[in-house]
Amino acid sequence: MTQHHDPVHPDAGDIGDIADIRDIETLTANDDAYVSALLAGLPAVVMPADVAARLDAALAEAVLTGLTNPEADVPAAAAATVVPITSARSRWRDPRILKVAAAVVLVLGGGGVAVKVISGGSTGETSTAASAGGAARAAEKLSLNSAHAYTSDTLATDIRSLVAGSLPKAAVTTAPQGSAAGETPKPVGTSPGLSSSPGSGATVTKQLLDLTASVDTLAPCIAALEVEIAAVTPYAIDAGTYDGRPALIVVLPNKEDPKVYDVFVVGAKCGQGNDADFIAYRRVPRS
Amino acid sequence: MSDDEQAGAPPLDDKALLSAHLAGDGDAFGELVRRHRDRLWAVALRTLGNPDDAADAVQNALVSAYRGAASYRGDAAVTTWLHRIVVNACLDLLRRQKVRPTDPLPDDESRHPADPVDSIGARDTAIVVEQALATLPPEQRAAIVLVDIQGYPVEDAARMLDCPVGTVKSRCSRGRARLLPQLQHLRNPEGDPAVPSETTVPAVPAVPTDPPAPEGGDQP
Repeated sequence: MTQHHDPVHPDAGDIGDIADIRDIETLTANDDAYVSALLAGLPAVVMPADVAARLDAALAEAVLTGLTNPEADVPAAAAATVVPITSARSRWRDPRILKVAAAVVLVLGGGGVAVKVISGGSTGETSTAASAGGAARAAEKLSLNSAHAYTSDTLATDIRSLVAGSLPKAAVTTAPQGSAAGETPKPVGTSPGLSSSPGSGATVTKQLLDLTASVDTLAPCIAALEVEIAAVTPYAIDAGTYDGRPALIVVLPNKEDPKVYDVFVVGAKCGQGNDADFIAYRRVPRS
Repeated sequence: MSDDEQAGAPPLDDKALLSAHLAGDGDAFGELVRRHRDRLWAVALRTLGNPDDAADAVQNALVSAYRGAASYRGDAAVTTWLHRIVVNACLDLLRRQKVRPTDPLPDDESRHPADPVDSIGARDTAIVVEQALATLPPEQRAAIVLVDIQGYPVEDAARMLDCPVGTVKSRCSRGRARLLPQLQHLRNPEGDPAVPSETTVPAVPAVPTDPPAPEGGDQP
């Protein structure tokens, strides 16, 4: 079974592993490869001659209608479909876009974290939730920070244990900021809420601790996951490693199937630049 | 087209063609379109799932690109810019059609392989895959079309979709997870759980059906 799987570009080993699949819990590491292979196997298409002729005629008409100067004003209807690179990039800096992106509310309470995505909401709502929670309380409640060593092969079992509250909390060292996966973390003693056991190898990087420190730092990450449900309560959030790489595990309900968890595995840069720092996504059966 | 090119000079690369268009060469943009239209068509057709909608989207997008060529700043490949405009046109159309799910592609003989040896199984598989693809949300579908079907690197797809690389990866992964239940039976069409199917999954690494062509050196 392939241990380290690139979900975007399956290799020959991934494809070959498909034949070994026998049960749903081991499917997850190879599902991407299987579906990718089917998609890549779709037959090529070429533009039909009539569509090509119509397109040529439309471009010729654009010349004849006096738009031979490409710098001429773009009609409003056409402009709606033209998104040049420079203006498109500027859309990310549009305060209205940022406002929507930030409109993810994490509300603390009852031992859980409620996430509410408000389309067209205001940043004020986010701020209110953040101040109500408080950074210190958030550090305690938002993420388990177990430093558990999740793997693609055992993710389903681990997630069910995490949600059930029975995931053994690993002995933890805190890796310095910027440490890469595979580097030996330097023990720094016991962090708040964490235990330490030199030589255990369990790691929570400082970057992950910073990410989970408050609703202000975690909300952009949740927003970047493009959660499709208007208001969700994560079943669990945990920081540790995934296949040896520092990672945050976010367990959410699945929009379509109440029998599975949506599990996002993201890196410590999740939320920066509206990027999820995506590592993996899995659907894990609840039982 | 310039006299040099007509005389057998090396063809202009994409950026040179766009520059020629901006300089008033009446044929340059058409040449650019002819060079890339099959890939743009494939993206539109797979994303929209309907040839009529795809034709409208490609035409509107390319006429807009023709008119707005001056907005191209050269910080990405010309084909990336063209793809972005076409993808945006497709997504705009899908959002306007939000209440109406995308129709699966009709069983058009011209879209399927002509090889009689594998035509039946491959055609059946393609129809099922296309029908499943049509059930995805537009953003996930567009990401999968660009990365999995067209074979673009995730980084290029991110530029085309105007979103971070991680978002493209996430959309692809979630889209595939959505597709899996609809495609699972293709693993073993005979129904024997002990026998994985070898007829529907390529035995070699996935090869894009329509791989991106080199652009004559105007990559970003």
